Parts: sequence; structure tokens; C-alpha cells
Amino acid sequence: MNHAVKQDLDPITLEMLWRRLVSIVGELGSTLRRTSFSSVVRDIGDYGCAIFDAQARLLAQTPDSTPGLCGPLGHMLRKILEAIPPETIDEGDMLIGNNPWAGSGHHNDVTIALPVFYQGRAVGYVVTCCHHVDIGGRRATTESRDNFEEGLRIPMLKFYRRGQPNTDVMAFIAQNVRSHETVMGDLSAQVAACHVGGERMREICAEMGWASLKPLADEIVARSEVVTRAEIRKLPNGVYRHEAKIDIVDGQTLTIMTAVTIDDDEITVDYTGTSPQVKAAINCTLTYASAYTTFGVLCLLDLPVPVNEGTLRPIRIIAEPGSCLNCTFPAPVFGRTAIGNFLPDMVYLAIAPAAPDRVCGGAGATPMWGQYMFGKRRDGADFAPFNVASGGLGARATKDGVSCLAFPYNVGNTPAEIVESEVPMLVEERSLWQDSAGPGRFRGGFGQKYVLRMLDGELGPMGDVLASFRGGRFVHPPEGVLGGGAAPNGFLSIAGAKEDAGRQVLVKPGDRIVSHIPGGGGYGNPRERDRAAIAMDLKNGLISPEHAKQYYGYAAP
Amino acid sequence: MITLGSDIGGTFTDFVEVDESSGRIGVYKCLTTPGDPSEAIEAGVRELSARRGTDASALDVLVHGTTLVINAVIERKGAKTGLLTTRGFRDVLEIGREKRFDAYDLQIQFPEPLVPRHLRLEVDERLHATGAVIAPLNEGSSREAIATLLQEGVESIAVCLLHAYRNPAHERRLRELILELAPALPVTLSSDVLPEIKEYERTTTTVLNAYAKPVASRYLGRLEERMRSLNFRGELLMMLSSGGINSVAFAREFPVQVIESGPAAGTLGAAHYAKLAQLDRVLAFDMGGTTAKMALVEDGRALRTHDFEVAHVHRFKRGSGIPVRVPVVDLIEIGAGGGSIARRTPVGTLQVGPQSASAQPGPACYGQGGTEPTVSDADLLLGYLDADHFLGGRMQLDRGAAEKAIAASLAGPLHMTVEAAAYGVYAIVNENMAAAAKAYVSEQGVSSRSCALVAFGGAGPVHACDLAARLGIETVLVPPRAGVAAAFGMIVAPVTYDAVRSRRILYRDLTPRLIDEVLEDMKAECARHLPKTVDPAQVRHEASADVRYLGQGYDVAAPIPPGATGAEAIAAIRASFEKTYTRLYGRIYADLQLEIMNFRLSASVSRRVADAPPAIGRVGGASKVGTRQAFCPREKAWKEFTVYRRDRIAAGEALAGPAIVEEDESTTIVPAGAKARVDEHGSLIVTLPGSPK
Repeated sequence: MNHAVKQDLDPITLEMLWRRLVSIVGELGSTLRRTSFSSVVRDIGDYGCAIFDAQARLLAQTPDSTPGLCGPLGHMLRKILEAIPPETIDEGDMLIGNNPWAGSGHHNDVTIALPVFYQGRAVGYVVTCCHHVDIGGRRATTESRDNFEEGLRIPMLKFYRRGQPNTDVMAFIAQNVRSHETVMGDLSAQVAACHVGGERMREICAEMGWASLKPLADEIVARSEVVTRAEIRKLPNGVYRHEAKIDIVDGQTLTIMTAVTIDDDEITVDYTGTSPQVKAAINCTLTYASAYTTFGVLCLLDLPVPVNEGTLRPIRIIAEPGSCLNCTFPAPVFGRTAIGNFLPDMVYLAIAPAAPDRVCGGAGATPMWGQYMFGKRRDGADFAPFNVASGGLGARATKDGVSCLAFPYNVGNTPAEIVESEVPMLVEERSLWQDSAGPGRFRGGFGQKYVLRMLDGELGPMGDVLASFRGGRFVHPPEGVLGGGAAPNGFLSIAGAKEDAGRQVLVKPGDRIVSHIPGGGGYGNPRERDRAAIAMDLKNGLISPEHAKQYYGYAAP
Repeated sequence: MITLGSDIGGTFTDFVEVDESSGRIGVYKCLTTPGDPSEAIEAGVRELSARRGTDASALDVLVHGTTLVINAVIERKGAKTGLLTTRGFRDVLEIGREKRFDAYDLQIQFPEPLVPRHLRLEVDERLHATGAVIAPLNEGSSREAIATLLQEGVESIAVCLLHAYRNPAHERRLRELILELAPALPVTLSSDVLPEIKEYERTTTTVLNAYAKPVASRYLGRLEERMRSLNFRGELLMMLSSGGINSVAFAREFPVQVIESGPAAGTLGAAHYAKLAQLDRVLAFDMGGTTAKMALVEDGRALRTHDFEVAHVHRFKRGSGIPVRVPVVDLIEIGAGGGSIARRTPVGTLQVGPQSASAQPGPACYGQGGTEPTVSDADLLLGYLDADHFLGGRMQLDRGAAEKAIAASLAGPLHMTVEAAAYGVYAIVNENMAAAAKAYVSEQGVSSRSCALVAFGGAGPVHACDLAARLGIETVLVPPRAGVAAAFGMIVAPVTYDAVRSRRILYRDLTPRLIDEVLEDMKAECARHLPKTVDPAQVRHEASADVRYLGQGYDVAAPIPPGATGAEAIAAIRASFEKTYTRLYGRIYADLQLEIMNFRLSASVSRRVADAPPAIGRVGGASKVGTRQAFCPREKAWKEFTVYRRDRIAAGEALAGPAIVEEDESTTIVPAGAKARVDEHGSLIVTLPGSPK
């Protein structure tokens, strides 16, 4: 490729308009987040917004939304346009779809796209995707046997035609989902957000007197591609491999084979050899697996520009059809995070020798730990919270990991006082788990002990409470990197009995739910750790004298 | 009646004095004395007294704002603090909210907690969310924990127990136990500082208060001592972050409330002049050397928020600091100031900030060794600043150095002329501020087009008209004495106290009795905490509830009209919730249930301040002092600008752009096509023409 960039736009105008595109997606994101009723959109950021030019090239996407929702938007748009070719689109049309293989990997995530017209010509697209509270079918479960059990499959359709709602499509959706008012409300929040984005794109055309955004898009994409390739060139050529075991529901183990190839200015992540797709509804579509892998790669690169088509071009993801990272229809996919969340870790563990200063140890927060509870309070109110708790971040080249930090998803915890004011239970403990960090020259962040007790009597629930749990690393712990040690395995028990994640369980008054969520993996040889840092961890009770002796060869003076 | 406002800033300590009987206004600035900031206060009070020919006994009120608390936190110079908390929760401070503030940053870091783990001890006790006691406080183990902290040598103790916002009994008993063992030790209870649900934010706020208490107490003691020695017998009041003021005794007890008072006071000063000019919705815009701050002011009142953070790891990244849940003026801070550095980006565009050349070495044109081009360098080359009359001539600017910096770092590498690069810096920094301002006002459900801009700070008036044009704003007001806006704001600030009660309850379960009890309880708390000199009959109460749709995660403040109680207040909550919700989100959901999270009561007493006379027409003589070539941002061309001295413009005098209005602390650029006048209060009001077609 010729790296010379033509200078149609002066650097000042380019900077100004580029920033404006980035603010447009910010405005889209904040509109969606604030008006949505889906707690996963609001608090978990389970949405994605992006704007594209008329050739469906990504110009900007929301930086703070979940990688699994944001990453697939480009692929989704191209698939929508295959089904509904641009020449069949009129001004005021709005497009909808939720195919997991085209987009973000399960039905709850519904995409709405607005083709933007200026002076009668298409100038670009605004695309939004958000996780909806319900999509029909079986409730949130990994027990579905195929994709058809997983709720409403919305083909690529026109949601609006020439500015008028397509009432046939709306009625179909409304009839097939629970809480249809909320779902329809959230869909209209997406429509409203799309309109805001469309208006802003038209404002740019009007201000610049342009009939198309092409000159701007050309510059953004070309310049971004150049700097991304330059950044990849800093890494030594080679093929870097890692084989990892991860445990999924029912104590099964999967193998993830990762080969990261650096070839001058391109990166390829190839998962060939990875375990076949599984019965449980946790399979990843290639689009989804690519989104998390790409996210992992982007975190690793120190890019001076926000993500766009140009930054994505030098990155390629490969997984064999029929594997759990490229499942074939109609594999069930609902709980795909159980596998997909591991992918950034896989990239780091593989590429560590080539990029030692950029990687971190395995994340204790992966996979996500949390509890769903369904029950009734004594005052008759139903409760159905989803609370998340995170393990520690892996250690880095120059510093310890952060304790209790979401990764790669980005979901905060629910304050204990909020939990207790909603649910008839006590949070008995939420504390840093001693010795839970993988040892190393720099240690992982610590994980946590999270203990809940269902109350009994007057303060307890009416009847039993149905609960299901997410979690993992019960068999294969978060790994250390470059000589760093692993964190301990995760542990879950209910009413004293050791449990596995994924099953639905009845919790009775007085029962305790104990989660020990591991810390992050260590980095580098533990014997090289700064003695003062070990002494400080001992003083703070974060590690025991035995741990200090065993892993660091340290005995308190 | 003489009121003196004094604001301690990073570089200067500012004073503004208003004598209501004579209408005389005194202004003074001196260097801040970081070792003991009260030293500069003493110097200023002496100077202004000398000018009056009296001593400090002539002063009736001294209002004081200080950065002492925030500096103690940032520099980690607070007290060695211990924390007592509920069994199982010693790590609340370190676990935080478990979220990444930057999704792509693998090197992410958070601030170290103010209390290390070995000084965070647990006591045996447990309350339920309803306030019911599940396990009583174990006094034996509590005494042991307290003794351990005392042995460690803590100088202050914070107590934050779960659900203490609902039932403070265990916290209060712990305070008694601490005082039994250490009668003079400062103790901070979460139920006093912030009786609000959510343990992480309550703990960080409580701990910060405890951490700052000994430092604040020592400083305020010294200040009182100095003032006494100057024969001051009036009332000493402290500026709070909320935009109100309260007594020294209050600030001693709750230093966390004075954490960032300067920007709040500046906003109040701006709001005051906007109100005099009958502008009912303004964006207060303060641009200094390092950052720009903007705050929305409606009907003379600054919007407030409780989401505030200090000691950020990344200054402009929300979530990277320590949360402090106190009422603060709701403002945004952007890395855009006179010292902001411009550079070529790796993709060949031009970027400005957020890095700043700060005061040292400062912009290249300061001639102090700075070589990187800054906003001030661009302002100088564009003709906005006068090299010979900067800061009233106190500092000579080096045009050659500015040119060299812009040529070497920007014009050369970007293949542009120096002029084009300088205008690029000006345009980009204004565009950055405009983008941030648009996002901020739209989150409030407001369009920037409906606002006027009130500009102050050294660089504010230089950039105000171009910023306004980018925001679709047509009116720009530059208040008099814009360089000491914060000190002036302290003079006009009301006396306030804010109370909060967390009562999580479904709206349909609200009873007139419950709401009346909560309101009365908060009213009594306000009465206890307002300064003793306040006349109870003059106190104005504003109640509100934090309300959400059941299942949504964001609260909306629903005001309860003054005087409304019982059933009337309950009805008012729904009505005002729906009104605000519609404004913010464009729709309401009539079928959904509402849930109440908190009740709030704000008590305030406006201090009667005579209208300050205009600071104009003093010097006399023709206001036009010359012309100079400058780049007109509106016409994108060099023009001859008429130069005016602000202090020579008479009230009512009109002038037309292109014009430059100079005063010692700042310079206002009036573009071609704009009109300006000075109103009877001394404010310079610029009217911009509609956007060019």
C-alpha cells in the first residue's frame, strides 16, 4: 500500500470534523444509556453505537460500551445491506435485525440502523445496538438446545419506511416478547438516537457544503490505517502460540488454541484447533469472537486515534467453522460471554514474549461472576436483581494488577446497601481474598470473598428463592505470564455444598452463598519481587506469611 | 457594612471588598503563601484596611475560600486516619465500584485509598436496610479495635457502618467509646457527614472528612488567631463547594464541604452579573492558564450535583478519582487554557491540550524557557494579546519566541503558514470547549442556543465570542473585575446548609406522615447547622426528592414546592418528577411505578448585598486608545481592530466590532459585525450577529 496520504483537507478542519464524529457517537451513547430501561444497557453498557460512511466504512464508535456489542456493528451493517441493498432504500427508512451470526451473537441484541440522506443522497449510516430486557423464547438460560429456543429471530427488515413505522414488524415483535412495553420503548429510544446521529451528520455536510462525507472518511481511514500498521511494526515478526484450558458449565473443559501471527504490519489471531461447539447455549459466533479478540488486540496497541475502519483493517481473526468460536447455525448461543470473555486473555498469553511490556496476566474477573435471584419480598414486591462481583486484574510489566476489577466486560458491582434494600438477604462479607493474587515480580490484583445469606423470619423472603449463578475458573485458574504464577481456583458453595455455575438452584432462608473469586495472574518471576512490596502486603494482611515464604521465599524479619 | 471576600488560588490570593454604605469597592491581589495560606490573608486584610484608613475592626464580614482541603488530599498531607467499619467490609475503600474508567487501558490505575488496609478495622454489629438491629454493637471488640488504632498512632478516626444512614445509633456509640479512650481525637461519623445509601461513596466521603479534619482545624485556628490579632470582631464565614457559605465551626466539623470552593464562587460571581443584566439562562465560562470550566446557571442559580471526584489519576477522566458525595456546583472542566500545549498528532492533524505548559515554564511567549507552542502564543500572534500590555504591562511577551515555537512544532510539520497554524490552535481549542459544552448542556435537557455566555478568567474573554458563535450563542457578557470573580462571588453567596435522608420506598407507599417527619427532621438539622447569626425568619427551604422509575438506575431530582407538606407534597413529587423527566428524556411512562431514593432539604439565607457600583468611568478620557491588526475569527481575515481601555468606557457607550477591549486581567475580542456596550453595572455585553450565511 502507498502510505502517502493525500492532503485534500487541511489538518485543522480534519481534526475538528474527526472530533465531531467522535462526539456524535458519544451523544448517541449517552442518549441510549439514559433513556433505556434495560439495566444491562444503563449500568453494564451493553450497547453499541457507531457511524459509517456511505460505503459502510466505520468512522467512529462508542468507546465505553461493551466490546461484544460495539465490535460487530460493521459486520451487521454489511449483512443488513446484503439483504436490503442500498438502491432499495428510501430516505426515512430504518432497518432492523438481530441475527447472531451477523451481529453480536445472541437475540437480545437488536440492531437498528438509519441510512442518512443529505440533499437526496445517502451520505452514511447510524447504527445502534442494545441488549433488550426480553426477546421471547426461554428466559435467560444456557439450557436451550438450539437457536430456535432462544426467542424471536428478527430478519433484516425495514422498521420504518419513508419515515413511517412498519406496523407489521412492530406488532410481530410486540406479540413475541415479555415486557413488550419496555422492549418497544427501548426500540424507540434506539430510533430517537439514530435520528440525533443522522441530524449531526447532515449538519457536517451542510457546514462544509459537501454532498458526501467521502473526503473526510477517506482521510480518517487512510491516516488511521497508516498509524495502526506502524504500531504493529513495532512488534517482532513471528507466530506466538498458547494453549489454554477453560472450564465451562457441568465441569467440562474446553481447549482454546491461539496463534498470533505478526507479519510486518498485520496481526492475525487464529484459533484453529479449538474445541468444537458445545451443547450448552454458550457458543460464540465468529462475529462475536472477533469482536472480543479485536478488542484485546486494540488494548495492546497504543493507538493515537479512536477505533475506525482504518484501525481494524490490519487485524484478522480466524476460527474454524463448527468450533466453539465459530459455531454453525442453529447452535445455541445465549450465554456466549462464558467463552468469549476469555479471548483477550488468550491474545495476551500468546503474544507475551513479543510484547512483554504491553500484556497482563490472566484476569480473575473472567468469566463474569454474578447471581440472578427471582423471588418475592414479604411486602409482596417481586425482586429479580442481577449482581456482579469481579476478581482481580492480571499483573502488568511495571505494576501489580488492580484488585476486584471487571475485565474484559465492564460491569460495576451493586453496593451492599442497595442489594439489601432490594433483596431479603444480607451481604455478610465483601472483602479482598487473602493470597488470591497470582505471585510474580508484579502480582495480580486480589480477588474477593463475597458471602450472601438469605434472611429468615420477618426480614426474609416469602417462600424459596430461585437463583442461578455465573462464575468459573473452578478447574483451571487464571494463568500468570512470563514466569508469573497462577491465581487460585474459584470456589462457589450454596448452603455448604460446593456448586458449579450455570445450574438453577432453590435458595432457602438461612442459606449462605459463598463465592471466592480469584485474583489476577502474576507477571515475571516472584523471586524478583521488591521485598518492601512483599512486606507491605504482609502488613496489610493481603498475603499470609506462608504464601510469602512459599512463592516469594520471603520470611518476615 | 463592609464585606470582604478572599479566595486563595494556586498562584494568587484575591480580595474584593464591598462597603455597602458608601458603595466603595476595593480589589487586591497578592501572591499565595503555600506554607501558611493565612499569611496572605493577613497581608490582604492589612492592605485593604490601610487603604480605608482603619483597622480590621471596621470589617463586618469576612468570607473565605481555600484550596487547603483538596491540596491535603492531592498531596497526601492529611492526618494519619483510621477507619472503623462493619465486620466483612474493611475493603470497601479498595474494592470500590469494580469498573474501569477507560475500557482500553490495560495499564489502568486507581488512587491509593486514604486509609491503608492495616488501619481499616472491623467491629461486630449489623443493621438491616430498614434500620433494624440484626446484631447489637459488641463493645468489647469495638474497644479492642479502637485501642489498636490508637496504638498505631492515628490522628483522626472515621466511622462508617452499613446502613448507618438509616440508624446512626451504633456509630454514635462508637464515637462515645473512642472519646472514652482518646477524649481529644477528631471523630467523623458517616451518619453525620453523609446519611445517604451506598457504602462506597459514603465511606470515601467520611474518610476524606476525617483525613482533612486536623489539617483544616489547625489552619482555621491560625486564621482566627491572625484575624483576632488584627482586631477583627466581625463574622468569619467559609465558602463551601455547594456555592453557599457557613460558619468556621461548621467547616471545622465538615471540612469535606469546603473541598472545592473557588469554581463555585466564580460561578456565583458570574451568575450575579447575569442576573443584573436580566439574562435568565447562562453558561458561566472561566478560562485560565490550565483549564476551562463551564457551569449552567438558571435564574441566577448554579445547577448543583452530588457526583464529584477528587485526586484523579487522569485529570479529565471521570471515574479515575475518589468520589466525594457533597453538594457541588455542577461544572465541567476541560483541559483548555492559555497554557494548553498544541502539537502535531501522529496522524498529521493539530491537537490542543490537555497537557499544559502551566506557569513554569509557561507559554513560549512568557520567555521563561518554554518552547512548546500554547494557546497564549497563538493568541499573541493573532493580535489578540498586546505584547507590551499583558497583565497591565507587568509582563512583557516575547513575540519572536511564540513565532518560533509555532513554526517549529506546527507550521513546519503540518505544511502551513505560521498564521494559519496560530488560527488553527485558536479554532481547535474553542472547538474542544464547544463540544464539551454542548454535551454538558444537552445532558441537562438544554440547548446551548438558549444560553448567554458569561466569560471570565484571564483567557475567557479572549475566546468567548468565537466559542459563543460555535455554540449558536448570541450574547456574551464579560463582568467587571473578571480577574477576581471568585472573591467577588463570595460576597454575594448565600448562607446555606444541605441535609439529606435516604428513604428507599415505592412512591405508592409514601404517607403524608412519613414525608412530614422526614422534612421536619431535616429542617431541624438545618437549623442546628446554620451559623448562629442567622435570623431564622429569613431562612428559605427548598425540598426535593431523588426519584426514579422502578428498575431504572438514574435518579431525577423532583423539587417539592416551598411550604408543601403531606399529601400536597406527595402529589407535587410526581408532578415535578414528570416535568423534569420530560425535559431530560423527552417522554414519561405513565404506567410505571416510581421509587424514592432520597429526600433533600437545602436551607439558605441570602445576605443582603448592596448593588456594587460599576467599575467604570473612573479613569476618564477617551476610551479608544488605538488600533491594531488582528485576525477576525468570524471573517477569517486580518482586520484593523479598534482598541479600547475598558476602564474608560462609560456606561451606555456602544462600540462596534472589530474591537479589542483591554483591561489589566484580560482582553475581550469583539469580532467584525458584533456590537458591544457597557451596562449600568459595568458588564461588557457583546451581541453577535446571527451565523453568517
